[in-house]
Parts: sequence; C-alpha cells; structure tokens
Amino acid sequence: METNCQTVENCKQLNKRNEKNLHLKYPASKIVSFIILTIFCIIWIAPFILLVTVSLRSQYDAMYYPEQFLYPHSGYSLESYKVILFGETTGEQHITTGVDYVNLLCWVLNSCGSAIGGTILYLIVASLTAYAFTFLEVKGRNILFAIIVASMVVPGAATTIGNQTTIFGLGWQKVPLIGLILPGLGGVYGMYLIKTFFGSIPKDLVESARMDGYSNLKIFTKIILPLGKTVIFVQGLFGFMGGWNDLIWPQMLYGANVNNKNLWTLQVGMAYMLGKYRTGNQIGVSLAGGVVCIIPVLIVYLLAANKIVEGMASAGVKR
Amino acid sequence: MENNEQFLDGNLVVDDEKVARQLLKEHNYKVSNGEVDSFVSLKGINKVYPNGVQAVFDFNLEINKNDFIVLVGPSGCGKSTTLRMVAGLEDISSGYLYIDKVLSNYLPSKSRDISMVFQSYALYPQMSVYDNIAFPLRIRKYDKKKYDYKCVSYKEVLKLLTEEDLVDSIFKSFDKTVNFGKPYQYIATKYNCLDLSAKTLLKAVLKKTKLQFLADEFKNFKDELVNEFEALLATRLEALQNKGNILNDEYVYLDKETNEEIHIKAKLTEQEIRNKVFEAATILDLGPYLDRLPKELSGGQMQRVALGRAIVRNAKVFLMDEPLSNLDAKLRVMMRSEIVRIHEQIGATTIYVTHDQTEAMTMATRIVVMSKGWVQQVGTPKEVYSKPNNLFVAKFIGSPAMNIFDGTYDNGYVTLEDGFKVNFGVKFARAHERFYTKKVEETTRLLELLDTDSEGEVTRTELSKIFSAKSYAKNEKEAKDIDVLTYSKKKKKKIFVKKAAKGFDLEETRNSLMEMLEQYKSALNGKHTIKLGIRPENIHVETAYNEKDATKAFEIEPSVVELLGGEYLIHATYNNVEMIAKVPATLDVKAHKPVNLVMSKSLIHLFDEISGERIDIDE
Repeated sequence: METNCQTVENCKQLNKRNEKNLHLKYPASKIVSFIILTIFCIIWIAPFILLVTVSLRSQYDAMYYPEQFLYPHSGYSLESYKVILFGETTGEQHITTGVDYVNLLCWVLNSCGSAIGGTILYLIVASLTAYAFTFLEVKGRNILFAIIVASMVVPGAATTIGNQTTIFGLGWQKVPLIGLILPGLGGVYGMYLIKTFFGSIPKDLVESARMDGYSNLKIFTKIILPLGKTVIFVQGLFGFMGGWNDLIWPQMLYGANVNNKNLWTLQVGMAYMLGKYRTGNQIGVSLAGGVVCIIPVLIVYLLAANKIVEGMASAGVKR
Repeated sequence: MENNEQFLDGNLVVDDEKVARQLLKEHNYKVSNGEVDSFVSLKGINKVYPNGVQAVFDFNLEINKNDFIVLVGPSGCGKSTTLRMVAGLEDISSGYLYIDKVLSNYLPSKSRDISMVFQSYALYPQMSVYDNIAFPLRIRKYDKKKYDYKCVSYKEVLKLLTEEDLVDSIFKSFDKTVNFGKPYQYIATKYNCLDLSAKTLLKAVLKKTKLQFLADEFKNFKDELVNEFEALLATRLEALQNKGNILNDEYVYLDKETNEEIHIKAKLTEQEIRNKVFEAATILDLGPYLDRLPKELSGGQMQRVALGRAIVRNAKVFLMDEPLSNLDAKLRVMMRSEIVRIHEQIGATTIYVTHDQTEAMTMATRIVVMSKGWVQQVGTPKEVYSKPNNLFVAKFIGSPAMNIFDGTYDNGYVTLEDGFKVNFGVKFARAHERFYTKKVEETTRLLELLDTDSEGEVTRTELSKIFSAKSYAKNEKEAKDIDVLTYSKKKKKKIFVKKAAKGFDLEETRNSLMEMLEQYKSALNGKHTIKLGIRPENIHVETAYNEKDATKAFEIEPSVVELLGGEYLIHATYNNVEMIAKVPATLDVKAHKPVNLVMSKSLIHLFDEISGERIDIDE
C-alpha cells in the first residue's frame, strides 16, 4: 500500500483507514460472547416486555393471538387496566370484581403507609442501633452484635408464624398498618449494612466532637447522619421496595379478612383479584396488575438512581 | 470556668471505699488538690488494656503553664496512649492525672477543657471550613454578662446614624460584588456593632424608603429616625424599670440586692462565633478558604483548619497527636515553625506527640523520650541531646544517630577492639566507681525486697527498675518478651501480680538480679566491657582539629562520602560498627581513600553495658 501513496497526506489517510479497518475486525471470541450475552439478555428482559405489552392488549387479542405481542391483532387497548383499576366488566366474560374504587385507593395508601412509614421507622431504629454498636463503648458489644448478625441466618418466612400469632393475639389484625410495620423493625440486614458503613467513618471525628462537648444524640444528628446519608438512602430504598413488594406477610395478616378489604395492601388486593379471575383466560388483567404494582417502585428508583449507584459504591455492598 | 460546683479536697482520706465513692459521686467526680504545683500533673500513670497488655508504665510528668511538651519515641512506645489518657479517650488504669489542680481521672473528656488535633485532622467532610472551626463553639455555654440587647441595639443604632458613610455602607451591604454575606453582617462587621443593631437599622431605613431612593432621601428622615429610636430606647428603659429591673449604663442587668452585674450562662451568639472564627482564621491565614469544604483544601490547609478548631476554643491544654505525619517533608518543616509561632502567640500549654526526633528537638520546651511504655528521659532538647540518660535516648535523639562502639574499661582507660585507647583520667575513674557502687547498692536492695516479700509484691517503682534494667540487658531480644507485664483480673487490688505476669518468674527474676549484681561487682573491681558513644559531629579529621581534648587518631577507609552542602557525611566501618562522621565540606575527603580521624574526648559518652545507663562524669 505504501508504494501506492503519492504524497505524505495520502499516506496518512491510508494509514488511518487501515487502522479503522483493524478496529472493526472483531475476534471470534468477542462475537461468541456477544451472542451468548444477547441470548441471556433476551431471556431476562422478555418477561418484562411481555408484561407491559400484553397488559396493553385486549383480552380477546391476548388469548387468541399470543404470538403477536409486539403488533397486536387489534391494536393496543387499556381494557385490562379498566378492569383492574375500576372493576369494569368486559362484555364477554361477565365477571364482577367485587372491588370498588375506594378499596383500590385504600390499598395504595396502605402500601404507601407500610412501605414509607415502615422504612422511615426502620431507618431510625437501624441507624441508632448501628451508631450504638459502632461508637459506644459497651462491654460485650462485639459478642452481642455477633449474635444479632447470626440471627440473619434464620429466614424471614420461618418467623412469620410466630409473628402472626403475636399480632393476632394482640388483636392488631383489625388495625391498619401497625401489624405490617412492627415485625419488620427488628430486621438485622439494614443494621448490619449501616453499621458496616459507620465503621468506615473515622472514630476521630466522633472523639473530637465528644471532646468539644457534644452529646451522643448531637453527634449522631450532626456528624454521623450527614456522613452516612448515602447508605441510609440505599437502605431506605431497599426497605421501600421490600415493603412495597411484600405479599406473604400482609396476606397472612389481613388476607383472610375478606370482609374488610380496606386493610389490604396493593399486593394482597392484586393477588386476590388475579386469583378470582382465574388468570388462565384473563392473562391481560393479571399482567396489568403487575404493571400497576411495579410503577411506584419504578418511579422511586428512577428518581433515586444516581444516589443509589453512589451509595452502593460508597457502602461497598452489592445486592 | 464552667463548673462552680464544690470541689472535693484532694487530701481528704476516708477509710471506707464506699464512703469515698459516695463522696466522689456527690461532688460530681470533681476533686482538687492544692498541693499539686504544676498546671498539668501526671503521677504514676499506668495503662493496662483489657487484653492484659500494659502500654504505659509509671508515667510521671509535671507540666507548667505555657509549656510545649513533646512526647517522642518509636511507634508503640505508649506516647499516643498517654496523650489519649490525658484527653479522656482512654481510661487510666492507675495513677493520678491533675489538670489545673483538678483530679481528672474520672472526668469525661468534655469537662476537662482540652482540645485536640488528631493525626487524621478529624475535619467534618460535610461542613465548610468556617463551620468546622465554629463547631466547638456551638455547643458550650459560656459565662456572659446579662445585657438587655434591645437597649444596647437602640443605642448602637443611634450611634450608627451619626456615621458619615452610613448610606454608602448600606448600598455596599446590598451589593453582591462587595458583600457575599447578609447585608446586616456587613454593617455589623464594619461598624463593630451587634447583628441586632444592624438588622434594626436596616429594617427601619428600608421602611422609610426604597433602596434606590435612599441616597437622596436619607437626609430628610434621618432626624426623624433619631427621634424614633430615642423614644424607643426611653420606652424600653421605662418598661424595664417598671418591672423592677435595674440596669447600669451599659444596659447590664444588676442584682437587686448587691448591685453587681448579673452573669448568665449562654451559648455564643452567631456573631460572637463569627468574630472568634475570623480571629482564628487570621492567625492561621485561612481567610480565603472559609467557605470551602475540607476536600477542596491541600494537606497543609487542612492541618491549619484542624489547628484552628483547636485554638478557637481557648482550651486549657492543647493535645496534638502526630499532627504533621501526613504532610510532605517540605510542608512539615513549614508547619513545624507555624505551630511554634502559634504556640508563642496564644501561649497555650501543649502536649505534642511525635515519632520524629527532629520535630521534638525543634519544637519542644521539654522533651519526654519514651520507649516500650517507660519514660526514658525528661529534659530540654539540649539536655536530652547532650546528656542522654541511657543508650536508647542516645541512639534515638540526633540525626545521624550516635556512633556506639564496644570497648573495655580498665582503670580510667577505655580500649576499643582494635586497640584504640582513650584515657579518661582520674575524674572519670572516680565517677565510674561512684556509678557502680550505687548500682551494687540498688541491686542488693532489690534482691532483699524480693526475698522479704514472699507474696511477690514489689512496688511499681522497684519493678520499673528491674524491668528497665532488663530491657537494656545485653540481649535485648530476650528482654523484649519479658518486659511486657500482664494484668491479672482476678486480683484487682494489685496492679502487678507477679505470678500472672508473662515471663515474670520470681525465681528467674532473682537469678537475673543475682547475675546483675555479680556483673556490677566485677565491673566495680576490674576490667569490664563498656559502650562508648560519640556523635558524628564530634569526630574530626585529624589534620583539621587542634583542640586539646582530641584523642589519638584512628584510621578508617570511608565506604561512602555524602555531600550535604556544607558538610560531608563519612560512612565507614570501624571496629565492626557502621560509623558516621560529619566533617566540613572544605576538607579533602574521598571514598576509599583512608583518612585519620580523632574524637573530642570531652564529648564522648560512656554507657554501662548492663543497665544501658550513662556514666556521668559531672555528678
């Protein structure tokens, strides 16, 4: 090639082109890995695409032309959402949901209450615990914390029966929210996460403030909280998602109480409605329910995406 | 002073422990001792960690006001632990700590009125420099006169109205290019008045007219304003008098019966904090950085902020824990003189911890050299340098370090291995005899103590002697394991319990003491080995040194010759010891070219090999 080029300029251009060509040549290994990754990606993303598209199709359409999920036979429709949100019956199926608009509003509020309220209360409990275990000199502190951490081994589902017995014994299954929030406040994971982060805050900061005459509460609010806000934010988000998506516990608590549906959370309500519809032929409705449940969490996540990445990086914890 | 409560007399002796505890609690753990002379006093302080390791042994130190004490020693020698005990961050296992004649063992660190600069600076990353410096001021309550601030502010407004350039200042205060703070802050700072006065004035002026018409109209309503404020002041005074309050001319509330000014405890106002922070910032040259965050500062600036936070509170004692160790070499030298300057300026009593002997030498008024938890020597930098107590101090202080040779002592003569002989004369022979007689006596007494005390209880001071002796014994490696005492939790009354002590065997101790006694005795009577120490700068090239106290010359072959500007450092091996000599660079010295050196006899230090202590001629 070099023989062909007449001027220096030409030569440069030719070289550049060559470089470019080299760059475009992917080695076989890269192509293979790309294909494998793409397949996995499709496998993982497909349910989500299905969830959204099918929920936007009419029920007839979804049942009889399931393969046309991107270009529906009879176009997109909000039919399923009408059923799930407002209880409107479709002409063919003749079903009534037994759920009215007031119920739905209550469910959303309950979900919000348990997710947000529970999260805030838990953050208070967990961060104070973490502070105490990190910065207060107490005899046997480490042993106590080891025991607490060890209790993480016990799966949450294993203690739900006990919790249910307690709450029912107190009669709180008839009271909104308290039963939803209270058992979760003893959760260990958040304490552990926050404590790990607090542990990375130099002790000098606390000692210095203590020497200046600040009390523990002041040190906590003025120094530790501002420094640890990222991890608290991350834990808050986990807590919110956990609270919002939880189904087992709310169902054990309020699910049996069909007469007072106002106590239910959104998840319980959705599960109830889906069960009632025999999801086999009402696939659109059930998926619309899924979308409804996802939306709030998605909004929160999108709003907080930056903070989460930052927080996870600084907390050094993956989940 | 924050505490007006009654102090317990430190000399009070109570038989019952319970009563003593009760008394302490009643007085809020505040004990004062009039017999303590110095400002800060540490008496027989020991620190035993819960895991049984003892970090500090029998620490005694008297610190006067305005002293700059430097604790220096290799890492792990207990100097930081000592400092943290003074700060109240670590418990004191035994001994007494007096700060300003108040027993402070049981006081929480916030009641000790000390401020500390940490090695990591401990700046709060989320706060600006200003807030960082102001942080210690925001919590404490200070003793203040009880002013009636409304009256004061009216009076000040009246004074402000007489200022000629007031209109101009008001304009400037609103001009964002001139004043970055709030308008009232600008006026309050400029005319040195209360924030409240400036606020009141601005409010009143702007009520009369808008800012853009102010220049023209100010004259018109100025008199009106004066009258208004005079009326306000009069009404306020009358109202206060009607309520039965008495105020003096400065508008300070007076006590109704004694007619004395009433003092109250209150937090500082934001304005007072601002003034103090600005003052500290001026001392430290931090003015331009006040609104920055710590992460936007360089290491030296961060260091200065940390200092600022310490000095802004005017604490009784400053503690500094290796504050310069995170800086680069050049900055360290700069900050060193800076800290000395600040110390002179504010005259605060300072305890400074470092492992760098240069810092200690340059900054201290007195140095405390520590090793393995024991204080080795306390003295001015000069004393420590020219009269080191023992081998450790001799090696540790001074750079390059002192050359130590093995020699043999015989009747006033010291002979090195290669036959190099120095005559120290009769005077030294006498000092030598004195030294070893004393040692023999001491050791005999210790042995007696060991024997009479079947339980094995030896007082701390005695023990300290045994162990300091042991740690300088010939084989230092062995001694390392032995000189860590352990603390028996079962017998809490005795700090040292010999049976539980690791490596502390009664029989073994007795044997080693007997051995020592034998060695001392033989040293007293005849030939014995001795350590000869000479500082590099006291070794000279023979041809260039004509003083009387020169020893005989000895020949060495320099392996390396380093030029340090004005001086050569000659490295050579002499008597199997890597030695260094410091000679002027004007001389002709080259590597691998043999050269004849002499020592200044009067500046040679001789150390007993058994205990490591220096044999002092002048004693």
